[in-house]
Formats: sequence, C-alpha cells, structure tokens
Amino acid sequence: MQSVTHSSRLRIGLTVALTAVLALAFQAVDIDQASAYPQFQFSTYNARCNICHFSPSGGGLINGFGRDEAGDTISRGGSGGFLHGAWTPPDFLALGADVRGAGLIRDNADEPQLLAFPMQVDLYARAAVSGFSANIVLGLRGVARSVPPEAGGDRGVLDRLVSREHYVMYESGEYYARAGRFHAPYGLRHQDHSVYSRRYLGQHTLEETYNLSGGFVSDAYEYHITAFAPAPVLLLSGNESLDSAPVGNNGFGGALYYENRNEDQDGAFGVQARVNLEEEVSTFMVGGLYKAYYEDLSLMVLGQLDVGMKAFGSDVDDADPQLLLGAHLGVTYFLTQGIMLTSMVERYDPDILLSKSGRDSVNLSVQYFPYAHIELHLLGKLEFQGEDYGSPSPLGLLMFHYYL
Amino acid sequence: MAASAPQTRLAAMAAAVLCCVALGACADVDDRPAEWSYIHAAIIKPNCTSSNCHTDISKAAGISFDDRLEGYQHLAGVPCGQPARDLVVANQPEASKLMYLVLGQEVRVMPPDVPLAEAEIDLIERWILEGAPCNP
Repeated sequence: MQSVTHSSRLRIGLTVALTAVLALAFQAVDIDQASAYPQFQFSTYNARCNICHFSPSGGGLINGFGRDEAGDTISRGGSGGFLHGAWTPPDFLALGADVRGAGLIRDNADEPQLLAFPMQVDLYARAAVSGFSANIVLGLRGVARSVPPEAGGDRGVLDRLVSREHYVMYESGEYYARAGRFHAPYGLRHQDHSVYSRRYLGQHTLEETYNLSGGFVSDAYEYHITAFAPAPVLLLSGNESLDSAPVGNNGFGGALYYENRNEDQDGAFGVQARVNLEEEVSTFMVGGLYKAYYEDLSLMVLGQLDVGMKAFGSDVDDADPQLLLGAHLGVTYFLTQGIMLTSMVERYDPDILLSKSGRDSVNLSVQYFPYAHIELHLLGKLEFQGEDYGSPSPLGLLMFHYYL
Repeated sequence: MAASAPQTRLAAMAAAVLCCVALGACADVDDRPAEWSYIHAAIIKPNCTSSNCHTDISKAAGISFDDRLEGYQHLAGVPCGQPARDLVVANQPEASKLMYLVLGQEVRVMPPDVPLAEAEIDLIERWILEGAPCNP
C-alpha cells in the first residue's frame, strides 16, 4: 500500500493559480460566462455569446447568425445551415442536433487502454413567438457505459432518455427571464465536461439544475442572477423508484454572474458567486474571469479563478470547513481558419490548507473544422494528483463531432 | 472598535489562504476525520457520483454512492455497524480491493477520469486501518 507521508514542500502547482491571479490583476477586460466554445467569443468579432446562441448566457443551439458564422468564419467552408441549408425551418422554429463519438487511450494498470464510445446524442428544438420561447434538449444518457443486469441493466431506451435542458424564456430588448432546467450561468463552460472548471464546480454532465433566472445582456456588459434547485434524472419507464436521482447538486442555492467588456470589444473581465446549500456539505464560491483576444497574435486567452469554502453539516462528524481553489488558464492560437490549437493548465484543490490534496492538469488540443457541421478534436492531457509532478496520468482522445 | 469573533475568524482564514498561496506551504498533518460520513461527503460523492458512474441512475458495477448508508453497504458488504468485509475489509487495507482501485494497482484506476489525490487516498487508507467505522 501507499505510504502515508505528509512532507512539507512548495506547492509548485499553485503557480497555475498565481498566474491566473496575476492575469486578473493586471489585465483590464471582461468575463463571460462561457458558452460551449468560449474561444469563439471576441475571436470571431462577436462580443456576446447570444449573438450566435439562443441562450442569453451562451451554449447550446445556435441561431441563424451563428450558423452563418459556423460556415463562414469558424470552418473551412460549407453551409452551416440546418440540414446543410437543404431546408430552412419556419421563423418561429429552430432545430438542431449534436452527435459526438470518441476514441481514447489512457494508462490502465500499467498497460495502455483503448476505448471507443459514443459520447453525445442530443436533439434541440426551440419555438418562439413574440419574445416568448420554449426550448428543449432531448438526448441519451450514459451512452458510454453499459449497466449490469443486477443494477437494472434491462433498462431500455426510455430509461436512457434525458433532457438536460428544457426551459421557457421571455426576452424584451436586452432583458430576459427564464425558468426551467439549464446550467446556472457561472464560469467558463467549455464543451469538454472534464475540464476542472466544469468537473468540480457544478457544471459536470447532467448537473444542470432547475432554475429561475433573469438578467441583462448588452454589448458593454451582462449579468445573470439565478436561483436553483436539484434536477432529478427521471427513469421514464417507471420501473424503478429513485429517491436521490439528482446528479451533482442535491441542494438549493443561487448564482450571480457579471461580465464587463472593454470598449474595443475584444476582451472582458467578470466576477461571479455561487452558493449551494446541501444537508451533508454546502459550498460557497466566488470567482473572477478574464478573456482577451489579441488579434495581431491570433491568440485568445481565457482565465478563471475561484475560491470557496465547503461547510459540512452536523451529521458529518468533526469536520472543519475546507477552503477550495479552482484555477484555469487557457491560450488558443488560431492557426488559420478552421484550425485552432489550445494549451490549457488547470488546478483544483478541495482543501488548500492541506498538502497533497490538489490535482493539476496540462492539456494540449487541436481542433479542426474541415467543413461546416464537422469537428475533429485531438486532445492530449497530463494529470498530476497530489502535487506528484513526477508521475502524471496521461490521456489521449480523438473526438468526432457532427452537428446538424 | 474590536473585531467580532466571526470577523476575526474570517480574517484569520483569509490570511492563511494568502500565506498558503503565496508560499506554497501547507499543512503536513491530515487531521480530517477518518469517518465514513466525512469520507462520503468530501471524497466519494464529489469524485464518484458523476452521471455515468456510481449514482442511482447509472449504478456502474452495481454500486451507487448517492446515499451514505447504502454506499457504505456497497463497499463493506454489510450494513452500517458491522465489520466491513467486501471491497473494504476492516483494519486491512492490503486486503481491501478499494485501495487497489483508487491506486490503480493491477486494476483500472478509479475514478477513471481524474484519479484521487494522494491526501484523499491516504485518508481512505487510514479509515480502513481504523476499522472502517460507519457513523450513521
């Protein structure tokens, strides 16, 4: 067994956090609460996420302008329209789909492990009339894993159906209000759910909560205020009764997000706060974000720093509150239209006053958009646990993404 | 005016954070409780209950950690209050498959996406060495 030693030493990994702190301190720009591809804000000369997405905080189904951008600006050609432009839905209706599959190689008991699996199958629909809209995402849950028979492995398609987003929204000018299930606006939300700012900060797969949310989105700034409650994942066949179906957040809480963009509309800074109250452990977080696009260098910089506290409930014996830290710094280089290279460093530490409790990662990825609707994503990642920088866990992943 | 006790405590915590971040030196001794209630809340749930893993809706390997007592039974093979003897064997980390899983020794490491940090593994080992107690 592993020896139990706790030697004092410098925590090299905190340089990630310090870098993010310095970036926040010395740069003057905005924070946006991220969309699925936060690198595209500013770098496509669009300052707001909702220029291309229907959601006021970005992510999910793209609108007509977004589809044009997907073909003209982001990819190396082709029509970004629904069905590749073969048929255009009526004005009140928007439709779409995302399909992702991946091949992966990683260390497994000292031997490389190869996996190939479907990653995402989601259908999108939005109907809108006079400022009101209804939005839904319907997909398959757990497509990457089989369920053993003794654990309900006879579950069929009905029990794998899941709607991670469904909400109604009213928009009037730059204001909006919406109610339903979606990610409460907070932080950078990359399309990769395994980045620490999603994995550990309440934005992991199917952790969308039920929300009441409102806000304001303009070219100069935006804010989002959200109250949330747990969102159970239902087994639609009704064969089983689940008492604790919500994934991730099981509590009630709220999130605030504010982003201010600079005059040149090529950068922003943001501040945010989130509270999640649960019986076993409650979490309180505050954070800041930084985004800047350096046109001359074709570089996009994204940074996020969060600090927080976990407070344990009375039924968790003798546990003191813990201070947590999340830090994320990514730099994307747009090599040419349709090809972007991203380097990312991250840190998450659930107890920053304790040695060897954090994890760090270094990512390098190439994203290639050869044609509208198609993305190839090659990712290499090294992860370091407990500040052991001598023996990283390597991961390689090739993902294919098609959107309709 | 003298600061109130909560203000003083907050200021002390903030100072500790700043010192820790600035100097990179943190506590050597893990004084966190080696109790199931804490391990479940601080380590197991945040790391093992992703949507496709050990939740009630997925039950990978037939195991769910959504509920604290049910999760203990999945690991111990017995209800709370009896000596653990399955994936966890009370007082015997070397006989507990859970340790091999979290260390990735001879088996696929768990969690497979982001393995546990050393301090978390050490605490689980200490919990097992102390008899893997289950405090309901």
